[in-house]
Amino acid sequence: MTEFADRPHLVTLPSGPAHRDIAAALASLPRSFRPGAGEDAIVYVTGDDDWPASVEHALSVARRAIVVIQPGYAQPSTVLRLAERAATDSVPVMIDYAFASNPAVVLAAAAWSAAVEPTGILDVTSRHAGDGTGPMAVLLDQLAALHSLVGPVRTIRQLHIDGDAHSAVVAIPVGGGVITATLLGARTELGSRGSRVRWLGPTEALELEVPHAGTAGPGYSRHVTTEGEQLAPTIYENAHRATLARLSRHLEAGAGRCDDLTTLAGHLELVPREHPSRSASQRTSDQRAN
Amino acid sequence: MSDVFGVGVIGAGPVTQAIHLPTLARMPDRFRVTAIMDVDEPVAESVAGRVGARHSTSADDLIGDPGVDVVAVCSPHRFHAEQVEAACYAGKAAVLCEKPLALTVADAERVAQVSRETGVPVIVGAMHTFDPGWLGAKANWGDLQETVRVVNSSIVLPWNARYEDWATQILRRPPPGEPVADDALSRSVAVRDAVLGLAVHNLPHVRHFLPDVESVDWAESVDPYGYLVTIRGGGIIARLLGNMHGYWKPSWTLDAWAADQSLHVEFPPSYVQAGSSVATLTSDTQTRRFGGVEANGYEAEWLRVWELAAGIVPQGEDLQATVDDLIYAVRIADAAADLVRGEHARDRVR
Ligand SMILES: NC(=O)c1ccc[n+]([C@@H]2O[C@H](COP(=O)([O-])OP(=O)(O)OC[C@H]3O[C@@H](n4cnc5c(N)ncnc54)[C@H](O)[C@@H]3O)[C@@H](O)[C@H]2O)c1
Repeated sequence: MTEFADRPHLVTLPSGPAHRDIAAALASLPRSFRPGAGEDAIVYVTGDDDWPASVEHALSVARRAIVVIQPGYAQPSTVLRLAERAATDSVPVMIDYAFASNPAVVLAAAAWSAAVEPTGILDVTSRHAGDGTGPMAVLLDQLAALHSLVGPVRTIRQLHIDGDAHSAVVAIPVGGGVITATLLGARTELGSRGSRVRWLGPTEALELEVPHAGTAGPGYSRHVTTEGEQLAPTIYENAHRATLARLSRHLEAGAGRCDDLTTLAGHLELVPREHPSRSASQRTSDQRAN
Repeated sequence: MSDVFGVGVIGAGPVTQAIHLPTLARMPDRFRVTAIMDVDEPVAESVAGRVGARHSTSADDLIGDPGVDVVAVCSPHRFHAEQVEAACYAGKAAVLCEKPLALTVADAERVAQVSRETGVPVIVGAMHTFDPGWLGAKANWGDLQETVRVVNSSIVLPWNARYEDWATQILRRPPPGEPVADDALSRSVAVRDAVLGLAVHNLPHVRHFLPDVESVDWAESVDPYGYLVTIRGGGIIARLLGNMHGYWKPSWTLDAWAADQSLHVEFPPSYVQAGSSVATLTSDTQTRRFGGVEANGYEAEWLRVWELAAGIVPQGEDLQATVDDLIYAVRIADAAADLVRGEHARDRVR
């Protein structure tokens, strides 16, 4: 009897293209979540142009939690203010990234952080659908993945975003030195969307490849040494479901605060002030409206 | 088609021993190695002995040998241009020069001029430009050159010795290079060397997609040997990345991404006769695979030498493309070196 006495959280689904994927993720966690609305519901916000305003609004109506899907550019001060308000109200605001929230990234994080040295190459590539806020959101997703796998990103040393492709070079302090990571991204209409990050060190390498968030197809996490190559166990769970599972654990533990927004604000601070991509999300949305 | 050309090789180091002699051994109906030259006499003598050729310590002597129809220049980079020119002036049937053809734009242009004047065909041993998988994809990629947005060239390989030892039994390996000192000049020299030594293999491929470089946005020399460079032009971004490392895994890839099509090429490592690359072209309706055949780029480049030497194909456009490839590489290498010098200096101040 008690085994079935679940009290699922109500979840207000996002509108737009993400609706289907989130509905599917909810359907795979029926004992924890159920679609619905109300003051007690968890609210989804899609990370397009005005996502901070949507979060602000959600904070005034929702008391449980908020999930932001793949956020694009926003003023860092606005995001910090939201983070503070959410902390004061004890409403966790969690970010659902396509890449950084994939369970393969989460699982690999500890081993990566322990292994990566300043020597070698750190490279990230993503191929994305170009929806939401496009390359800027993908860049922020890549930074979030690097944050958990390698460590806090210190500076963006070079950034180029145009239309639907981007390249960036960032510096990350590790083990008494600094490693630079090069990031690439491009829009694709093909099914082969996803991201890959590699650390190619002097005597070993780490490789992590994850598919797009709409599939439960697994990420592949490998450790390459002189002896061979070890593949970590594959996880057939997508980033949306992993985010919901993380939220569920967070709520069960009774923890109010969640650092996702603060980390994001830190990354937004790094985007060069004069860079035109600060308005990239605006441009992309204008294009989409045509 | 019974022409068997005599080959004279200048420089008998690991590349001659592990790449060219085994490749030529697979083509006895086209080539016979007749002379081997190296400034190190025991090396010249011993390597020549392996193939029953005469040996010499003088490049002029080898070039002047009437038994040498085709000259292969496999010496260190700085001698390439001058030795290729000498072979052209001697009126040889063809010259194969290991990459890079030259180290400066002026030298490359002069080599082209000499090749044109003398009518001696010159080709560069960037084997992956001759690779059947790559060429198959190239003949079938439709408008990819117009639609491409991002190019990613990645050459990540174990140290050469790993492969040399499977391709031959090396005689006298050069001592390992010194670690690159952490000063602006050393690092800028290192990045230039690595671009002209390793990236140069795939720069001809990259040039197909990004012919006009408007800016080199980032450059870095990677320890213990490697480079990281991003370039841009015509709305296309390319990342060039390469390093040599101590674990086992080779990964030599080239990607070109357009929104509606993508090319992915996996090349075999240097030295080994391991067949061609596998190139995959993907669109929304189909995935096509090219290559994966037994013939490799080394064989294909020598086949081209043979066709040129036999006069079956004219040198024509090949020469200009070869020189343009080198000029492209030198410009990127120079810009990368400048950037590293400046960036490194700024880093010290920070
Ligand atoms: N195509 C490939 O896959 C590939 C791979 C590695 C290197 N390479 C190229 O091949 C060439 C040779 O490479 P390597 O590793 O054998 O080089 P190396 O420097 O180890 O050996 C070159 C040989 O040339 C000799 N030499 C020195 N000065 C000379 C001179 N003035 N004239 C004639 N010989 C001279 C040396 O004694 C040595 O035996 C280089 O240009 C290199 O970039 C090609």
